[in-house]
Amino acid sequence: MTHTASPETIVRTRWCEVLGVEEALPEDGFFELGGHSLLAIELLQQIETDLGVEISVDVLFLDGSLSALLDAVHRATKP
Amino acid sequence: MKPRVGVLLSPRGAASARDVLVAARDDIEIVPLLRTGTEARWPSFVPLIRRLFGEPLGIDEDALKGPGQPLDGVVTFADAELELAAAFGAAQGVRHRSAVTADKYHQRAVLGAAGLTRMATRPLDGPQELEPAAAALGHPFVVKPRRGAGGTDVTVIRNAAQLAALKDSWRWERGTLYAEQFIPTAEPAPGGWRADYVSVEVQTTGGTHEVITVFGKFPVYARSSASQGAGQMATTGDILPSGLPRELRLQVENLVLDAHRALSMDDGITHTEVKLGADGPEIIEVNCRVGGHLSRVLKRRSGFDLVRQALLTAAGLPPQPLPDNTGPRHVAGLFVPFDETGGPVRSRVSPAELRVPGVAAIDEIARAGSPRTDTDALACNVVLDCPDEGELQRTTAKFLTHVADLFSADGVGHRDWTAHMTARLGVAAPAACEPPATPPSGRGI
Repeated sequence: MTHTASPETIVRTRWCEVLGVEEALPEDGFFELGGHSLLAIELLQQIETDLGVEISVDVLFLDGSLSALLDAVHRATKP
Repeated sequence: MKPRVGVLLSPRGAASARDVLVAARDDIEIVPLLRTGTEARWPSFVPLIRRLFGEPLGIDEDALKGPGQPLDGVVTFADAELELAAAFGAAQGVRHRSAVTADKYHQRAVLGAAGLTRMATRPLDGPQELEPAAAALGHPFVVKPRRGAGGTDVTVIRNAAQLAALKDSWRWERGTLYAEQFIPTAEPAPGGWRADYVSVEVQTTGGTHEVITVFGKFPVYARSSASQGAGQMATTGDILPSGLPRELRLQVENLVLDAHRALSMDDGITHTEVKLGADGPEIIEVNCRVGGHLSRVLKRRSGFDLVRQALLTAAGLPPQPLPDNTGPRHVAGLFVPFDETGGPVRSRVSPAELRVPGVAAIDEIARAGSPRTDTDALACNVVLDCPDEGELQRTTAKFLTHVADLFSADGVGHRDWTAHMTARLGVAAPAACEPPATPPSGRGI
């Protein structure tokens, strides 16, 4: 993944790749779209590698929404 | 300080690692326990556990040493780990559930002695004992594991040909399986579309047994595919409310509570399957753990978390109040089985395509190119949420017709469970034809 893409674009792209969906809406829930624990870890690892930040597992495992993940990534990448 | 509960985790458990994390909330500390060798068998599972709960403690029957800090209790959600969890809990001297009653052959003997079952059983120490079992029990009879295996390896033997096929494909060690009489089914109600069995979830706290709820079921499916072995049973989902008339429901609940008393079940959650038999309700088996895939349905309908209740019991914390089982909404967990369990998934289906009205969540979907066994040979596993029973029936029928179309390259909807159910639900089955020998272009791969 190109590092010139914005963090939001990276998250949305990885979300779609991992879940096999074409569209990523903020209100979408990872575990309501066929996502499971192993895919969730895969998604977090991909985002962390792409962006060089660490994301709490709770964001995805307890909340699970794309909006919560975007918020967490935004906080983690804020200078 | 938070109570510390050791959870013996398994990728084959009735609760996922995420279910446990969510259920623990912020008042229970989960100490992850893993059977030695789990990493070699499921390499991706251990990094997941490490990330969610920290470094797991490896244990087995010969290594029952505990963690540095003491635990308050031990629990597992995996059938295969009930005995190890009990041994570990006993070695630590902390709350745990005994595994003695996990042996279904033993269960049937105790229930028989208490006058709570009429079903005869036979031990099976090898394939040579199948014919004597058939002679003693008569056809049909059921061959099943003594210890729960998540519903796998259950075979109904209806005739000599099926008996011979099982004998030829015998792969089980001595003492793994046993045989018991088939429970004759009651005549279904006119227009009935639910299965001829239900499950009853019971909590035992301080020696008191209470019914949490009763789940209705979608009818089981006996796969016909040769690779699986004809007659192997697949469960297909759970429904709330159960749809049982009040009197029958009370009869079922009382039978299950009597069984818990007869078996001297100790504290924890159980999942008991009950056949609606021709001669009245008959216990199929009592499972000494939370039922698989049930918590999501109950949580959606009433907010009650079965996994959390098991953790609270193990932690010695007060249990959640029992759920309100009234209310109009009808919620179901639905698994759509492939008839053929071998080979890769041919159909290319996205979660968005399954997200049709009435589908509240997609828990699993078979991915194109992956082995069908990745999803336990299910095309998909979804939650339906509808305002009433009629709407659930219509939604299920429409959804199954839709799934048959999406997964037609895998034979779904062709003389299988899906075709049978759509007909039973009052929808014309898809035109009967054989699945294509080669995948078609487009949706298939």
